[in-house]
Amino acid sequence: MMPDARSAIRALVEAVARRERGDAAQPDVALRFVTDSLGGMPGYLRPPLHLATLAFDAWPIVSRGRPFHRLRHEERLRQIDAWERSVLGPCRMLMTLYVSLTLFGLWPDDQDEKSGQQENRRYG
Amino acid sequence: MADRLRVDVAVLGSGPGGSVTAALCAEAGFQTLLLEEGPDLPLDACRHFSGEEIVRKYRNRGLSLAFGKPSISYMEGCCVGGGSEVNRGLYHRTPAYVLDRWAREYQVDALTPDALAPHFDACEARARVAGLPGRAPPLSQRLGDGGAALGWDSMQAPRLFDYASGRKQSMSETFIPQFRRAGGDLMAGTRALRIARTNRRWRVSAVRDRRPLEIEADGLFVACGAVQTPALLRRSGIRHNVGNSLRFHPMLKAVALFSDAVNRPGDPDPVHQIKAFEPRFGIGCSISSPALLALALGGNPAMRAHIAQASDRMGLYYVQNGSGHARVRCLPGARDPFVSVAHERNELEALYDGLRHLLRALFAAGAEAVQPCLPGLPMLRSAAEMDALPASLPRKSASLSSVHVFASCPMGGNQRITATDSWGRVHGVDGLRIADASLMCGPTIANPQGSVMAIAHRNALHAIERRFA
Repeated sequence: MMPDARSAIRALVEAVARRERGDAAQPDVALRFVTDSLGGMPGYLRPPLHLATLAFDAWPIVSRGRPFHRLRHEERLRQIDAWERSVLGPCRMLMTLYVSLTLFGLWPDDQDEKSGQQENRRYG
Repeated sequence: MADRLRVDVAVLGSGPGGSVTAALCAEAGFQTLLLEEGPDLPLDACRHFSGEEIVRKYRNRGLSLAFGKPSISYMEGCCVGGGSEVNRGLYHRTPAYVLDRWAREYQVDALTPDALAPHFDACEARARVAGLPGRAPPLSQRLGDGGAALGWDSMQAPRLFDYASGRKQSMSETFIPQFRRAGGDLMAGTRALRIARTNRRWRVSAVRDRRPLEIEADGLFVACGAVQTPALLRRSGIRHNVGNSLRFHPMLKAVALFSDAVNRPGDPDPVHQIKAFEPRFGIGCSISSPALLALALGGNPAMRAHIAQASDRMGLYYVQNGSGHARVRCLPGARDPFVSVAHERNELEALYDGLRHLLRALFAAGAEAVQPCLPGLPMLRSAAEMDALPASLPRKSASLSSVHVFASCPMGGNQRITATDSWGRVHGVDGLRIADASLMCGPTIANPQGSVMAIAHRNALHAIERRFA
């Protein structure tokens, strides 16, 4: 029952994916985009992000006896919502980062028919 | 033991400034090496504006941030061709009033519209610039219609785009092939760590495939982009007015929901821009894929809920200005520079006023609902409901983004505020030139790629005439 950053990210992406797209969600595709993106972030941001993610995962241990990644879906959504509305800037920033990347990743490229190479269909 | 190379000219960075510079040097007969940190990928290696493109072609995979209140997330290309590969190619010549200001405040010589015209002409002859043939897509036309209903001038921006072939005129399609045909060598996946002057030559310490590489060159152009150029110079001990004045075009966005389809698969990129309020702010249209709509609406669930069923009726629009004055600093032991930004209150308020103008234009264009993309703000059903918006920009929750970064090493004769002379030569250092958006003296509000290319063209010819002295 220890906090774990990778499990927390997976749980967060799954929760946001289910909230946003229900059965149409492809959380694995979104999770791949989130983890790929995080792999390129500036090196000096990685330690504070890791610590903040651990803190996010550990947050419900006192009240519920379990880390975030072991919570039920509704409990996860409540914690995400609470952190999105937090008075603490770093909490809001953490949620903005993960939720934004997940939202982008939830609409995979094969559903987005617009690309640079298709632009010329309707000229003139 | 490091691999060693000896060339006449080295150009670090293959974005618009570096590619134009390298092509001219190679065509003038100099043995020229063009170094690029990112990979060498064809223009169509991945879908435009896709997650794959962000991961493969963007610096920091799109996660670059200038820290401030509010912070600005900014995008830079990191691949052969740089930003020209990942942007839309919207194109403007530098407005005359901007050049006039740079000449007055920064004392830039010979940078009038007439003096720059031949350089714009030359770049436009190589990289085709064209207006959209026929009628603009509905998403774009709506902005023009809304502006017209309110009496605001709008225009359709030309693009670096070949509409006959449907291909963007990025550097990998234009100046880089020209450079290669002239005998230039391109080395991708190579990161410059430091530069130093020894024995009247420049030495670049780089790393390629994890192997050290030493390059000696008579002439050296640094064109790594407005964040990486000052970072490289500062790491190398060159700091006079370097990295102290980085600027952005930060954007606020809004999503409009219309009653009929405006955002159809296969439509060309939107091109309408409202110019009536520049330089205070400018208004335009964005790519409106479901993924980008969802990203913009991260703090606005009510409008976001429409994406699954009605993304074809939704359009993403922006307002931008020149708010934010940033510094680039190297952190000990860190690969990436740290960027901090401060805002002046009047500039942020001008941006927020621009958002209100954008909302009015979208309602005037017939939008059923408009969502300002700021967390917690309501979805609006009419222009009258704008009264419910906060009186000033909510700084705590505002999220700004920018696709333009520039002006970190401004040029000009005023040595108190510039890093280089009027031709990109770094003050007090022999044979070292900057050739990218770092040289710009401030915001253009309009898309800056045309300015970067023309100024690079002008300065490269100046350098060649003087044999890089």
